[in-house]
Amino acid sequence: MTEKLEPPYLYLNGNLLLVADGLLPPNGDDKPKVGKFGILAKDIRAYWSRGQGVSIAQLYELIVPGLILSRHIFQGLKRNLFDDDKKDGDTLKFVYSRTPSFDVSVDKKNPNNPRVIKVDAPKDKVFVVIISPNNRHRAEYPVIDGWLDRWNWVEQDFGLQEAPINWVDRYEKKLFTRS
Amino acid sequence: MQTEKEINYRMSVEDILEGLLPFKPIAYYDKHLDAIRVQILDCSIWEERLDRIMTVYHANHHLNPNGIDDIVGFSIKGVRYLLRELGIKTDEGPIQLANLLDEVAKRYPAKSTKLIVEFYRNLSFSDKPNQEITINLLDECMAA
Repeated sequence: MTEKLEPPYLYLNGNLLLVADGLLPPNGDDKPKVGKFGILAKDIRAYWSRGQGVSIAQLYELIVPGLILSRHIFQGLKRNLFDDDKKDGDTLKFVYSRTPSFDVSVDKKNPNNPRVIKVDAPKDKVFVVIISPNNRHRAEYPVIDGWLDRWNWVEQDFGLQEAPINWVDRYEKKLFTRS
Repeated sequence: MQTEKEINYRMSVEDILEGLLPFKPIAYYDKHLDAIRVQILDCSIWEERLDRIMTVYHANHHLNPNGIDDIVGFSIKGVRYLLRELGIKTDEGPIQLANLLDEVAKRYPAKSTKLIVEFYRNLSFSDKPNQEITINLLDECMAA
């Protein structure tokens, strides 16, 4: 069952998801298409339980509205990674990068009324989102193209604007750059 | 661990953050990226990849007036492979993080490993000594 709710949520197969639009990794010479990338509410709850308010704020303020603005898409993390029962999990990961105009923080002075605050984007850094393609769970979540696994800032490459530093060594290949 | 938070489709980010308790240092297994993560502050971070095993977290917005980058955590990557290389069995229950770091330091005595081990030694978890912090790879639980 798929029930469409107000964005950015979807209710799929009995589970609530937060979703962000983003470009799908291009296939050949085709123009990239827009896809949906999700995170289960239970995973957001895990961030909340660990007290990671800033990560939650970045999810809602930088990823949901901004993943579609990503400048580059890379594939393959070039490190050992066992994921989804696959030994070569690193090769399946996509990395989306861009330089948002701001970052966020959380004012927790009043825990019953926390406020998300926009702050200056860190200098010479890019914001990256690591995404897993939705291969294994496509039957349960047919409209979800990928899963939002991790997000943080890294240093910007010296040669390629809005790309992570040493991207040539870090990732297997660059799939897309917005012109 | 804090109590569970119910999330529904009407919630804004502020609704979700409501009731967030003061942050305590955490150590947990991230199954999606097969990494152990240790974080001591809830802040925006930038990650510095030290090598294929170790990554260190810095606070984006300087915590001290000198503007020196502050280390606020680290991750150990490729944990399942690493445990296999080190001969540590994962089916015998949670692993002790301090022991794992010691084993990594012995096998890979790199500068990056020494930096992380030193950082971990000086950490202060809220309710347990560092030597007793354990990570359960099976249920992605929080250890501290």
